[in-house]
Amino acid sequence: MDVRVRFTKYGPIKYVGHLDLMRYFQKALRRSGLPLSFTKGFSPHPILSFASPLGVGITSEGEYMDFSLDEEVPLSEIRAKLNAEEAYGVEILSVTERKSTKKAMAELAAASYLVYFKKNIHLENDTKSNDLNENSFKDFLDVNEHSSFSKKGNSDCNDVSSEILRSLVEEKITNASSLVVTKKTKKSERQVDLLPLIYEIEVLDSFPSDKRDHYIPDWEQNGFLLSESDPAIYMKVCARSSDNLKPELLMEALSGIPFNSTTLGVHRLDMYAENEAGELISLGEA
Amino acid sequence: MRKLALTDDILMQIEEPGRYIGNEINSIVKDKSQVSLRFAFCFPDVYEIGMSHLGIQILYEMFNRRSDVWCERVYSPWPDLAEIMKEKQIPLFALESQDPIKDFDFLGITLQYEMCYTNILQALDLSGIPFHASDRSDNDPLVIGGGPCAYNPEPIAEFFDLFYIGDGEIQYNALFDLYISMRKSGSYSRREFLKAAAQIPGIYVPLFYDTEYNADGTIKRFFPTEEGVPAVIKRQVDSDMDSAPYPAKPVIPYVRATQDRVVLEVMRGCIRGCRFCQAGMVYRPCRQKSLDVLKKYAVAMLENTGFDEISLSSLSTSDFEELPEFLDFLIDECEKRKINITLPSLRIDAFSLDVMSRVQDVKKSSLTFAPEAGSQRIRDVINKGLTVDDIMNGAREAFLGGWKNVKLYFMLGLPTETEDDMRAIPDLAQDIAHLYYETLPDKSTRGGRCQITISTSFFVPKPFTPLQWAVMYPAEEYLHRASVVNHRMKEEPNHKCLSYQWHEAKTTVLEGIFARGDRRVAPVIEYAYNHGCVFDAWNEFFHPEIWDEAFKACGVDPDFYTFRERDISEILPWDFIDIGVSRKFLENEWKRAVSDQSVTPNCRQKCSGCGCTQYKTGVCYGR
Repeated sequence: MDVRVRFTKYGPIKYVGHLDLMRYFQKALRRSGLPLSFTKGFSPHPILSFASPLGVGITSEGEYMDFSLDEEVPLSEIRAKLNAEEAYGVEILSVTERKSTKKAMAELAAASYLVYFKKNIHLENDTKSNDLNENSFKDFLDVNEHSSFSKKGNSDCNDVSSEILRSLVEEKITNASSLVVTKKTKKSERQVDLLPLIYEIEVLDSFPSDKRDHYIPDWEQNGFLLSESDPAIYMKVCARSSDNLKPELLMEALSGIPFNSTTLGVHRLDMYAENEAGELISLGEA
Repeated sequence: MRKLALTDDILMQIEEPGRYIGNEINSIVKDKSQVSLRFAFCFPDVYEIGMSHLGIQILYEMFNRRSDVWCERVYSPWPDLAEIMKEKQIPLFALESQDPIKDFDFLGITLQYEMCYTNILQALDLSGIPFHASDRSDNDPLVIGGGPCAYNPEPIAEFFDLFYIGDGEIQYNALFDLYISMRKSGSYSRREFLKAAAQIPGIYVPLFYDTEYNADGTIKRFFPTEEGVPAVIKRQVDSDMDSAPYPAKPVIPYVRATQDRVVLEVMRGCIRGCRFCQAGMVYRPCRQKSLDVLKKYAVAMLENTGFDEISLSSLSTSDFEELPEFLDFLIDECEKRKINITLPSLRIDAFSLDVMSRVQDVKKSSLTFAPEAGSQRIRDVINKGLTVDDIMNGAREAFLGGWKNVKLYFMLGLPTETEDDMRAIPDLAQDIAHLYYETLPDKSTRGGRCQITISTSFFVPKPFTPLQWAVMYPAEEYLHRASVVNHRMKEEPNHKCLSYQWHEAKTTVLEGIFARGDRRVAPVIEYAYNHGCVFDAWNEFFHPEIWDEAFKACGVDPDFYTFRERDISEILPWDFIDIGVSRKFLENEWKRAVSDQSVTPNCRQKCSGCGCTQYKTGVCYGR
């Protein structure tokens, strides 16, 4: 029986990297007592694969892993047995039987995210310039990689607002014909147009508070802007292995300012496969 | 959710943030308002090393079985985080509660190797606890040390309020009861508590002792300065291994620990009596666990952790009398559960090779022999009951069984060692390589070249061993000895099958100073820490030049502790501890080692009267 599990990752375990998370799940699966299918050889391990690694520090309610069982077990029982073994922050949201023979990783076509900001980050949209190079925007006034909290100088720092985000999205995406960035890899640099990789994007006046309270309860302590009046961006973007668009890169292309995990908050909502009709459907339903 | 002690900004800029977040499966969280005593257990090295240590897991289990005690864990922050914590004045915290160590009643520090001593000071420094026990107030946690290095606590004595000598299973409950009752009755003061604690067998309170020295620097007298404080500290011995607490649900780290498997202790102590080995002396007598208990724990631990590997732990697993029966059970059980078995500390013989071929991929694995010395003469000096025939027979069997990778462990710098003995090391490796081609003459069946890896460490004399009186050598001399081995290896006919690695020499000398040091060494450790030394066990952080400077600045002559010949009548800094093995026995063994070079039988062959029959347990039972 081939099974797909949708799970969350938040709280302290969000700081656990992908390889360690895989080892964590191998142990949780063994503890669950489910009749797992194993690889052959001298060091057999459960046949287990993940849709897509989640960056350290990122929260999610849409992670997927696939594994197989030697015997049929009711889906509700699998879910209950797994949930009994999980650490804080990992919840098994659903268990489905895989129809497709494809693994989640191969099926993966898109991912959706909510993106939010740290305090004291200042964006400006210089509407006079149509240049796409980095100088077309004034940078942050006072983002310091090591302490995003500290204000520098005298700036009466305006935090990121939904107005500025909307104008950026409108200009750079909605009304633009391309959004070209330079993607650097270890070996080469290449120009990529991000527009075809963006399926949906929307500026929200606030991050949904129920999600915030559940997945990012430590937002205030960590200096994130997540009050009712703080904006967020919803995006559904390409996640194919060839053209995986990371939210940080899209935000950098929008603002001209390099974002990293200490300046930008990212919450993954779901991951999608493409069905025969060319529609994106949740991996849990594929 | 508990608030983490470190903010997102910090966690996202350091290596392996998973080391500091707690929340591991099977970690124990209690309501702090419901407990009377909070104990922070520290392994003064990085998380991955500390989490691999069995002793803490055992005591963590035992302490937390008490509803009035909450024991948590803490490890050394890696230098990247330590620097941030210093700069931002973030106090060192325990993993479970993420609370500052300063809020705890006890800070327990396990002392597994000497090169962690500066990390002890780092833990105190980051916690905001004064370095010197004499400077601490009633509000500071009580700092207690234990473990192998506590058998000579003197170089770090002034940093500790208490040391626990022996198996932790025995007296910690009495210590906790005393603390809780004094706190509850309002009679607690640091000094009064320590005075009362000093009455508990196995507890050493350094503040209540002093040393007088002779003109030549040796110890004239070591004595209690308080009335009623015992002059001798007796090691505590657990005589019932079967009912001793053991962690059936060990904490499972997220970050991959060095020991990433279930570790099952089958036996404590060793029958062998190797003269260099401290563990072989201070854990006497050899005590086995019963088969039923082991079976029960093996299954429970696998089910409670989900680890895919189990390892048996002891000083010499081949000497565990019920090993064949237990392995039959384990192999059967692990095959069902798809679990790997690793078997360190096995003597290589037909039995162990048969077992190993059943549990591991012979082609990929290597076999480890620890002859410790290349020549039979030196093996007799150290009482390593292993002959060249044992080694060759084991190797022949192994080659026939399909192994072709062999690791050999040796020590250089053992007493009476000559250049002939050094050259005997690669010669033995050569003989083994030659044996491979002799055993498997047919090129088509043997599957390529054999690979013999020689590793040498430099011998460090340890307290409470028969070789505790041995001299050490300067770093240059150790490197010279390694070069003798290296040159000879390159001349061997089968040198293409041989490779050689040797240990760092500078750390060896320092380890030797700490191992046999006295209270005058403490200022040197403090100076070195204050000038940037920490994580000395890690080559990339080891700064020998700062240590050289520290000895000079403190006016301490390192050679006094290393190169000096010690007379057998000299009072040694650790003589006030009674480990149960008599000094007479150690003296006699030392003479047998260097004068007669005669071998002493192991505890099963014949009792040699070391003194441990007094415990009436284990291998001595009924004698």
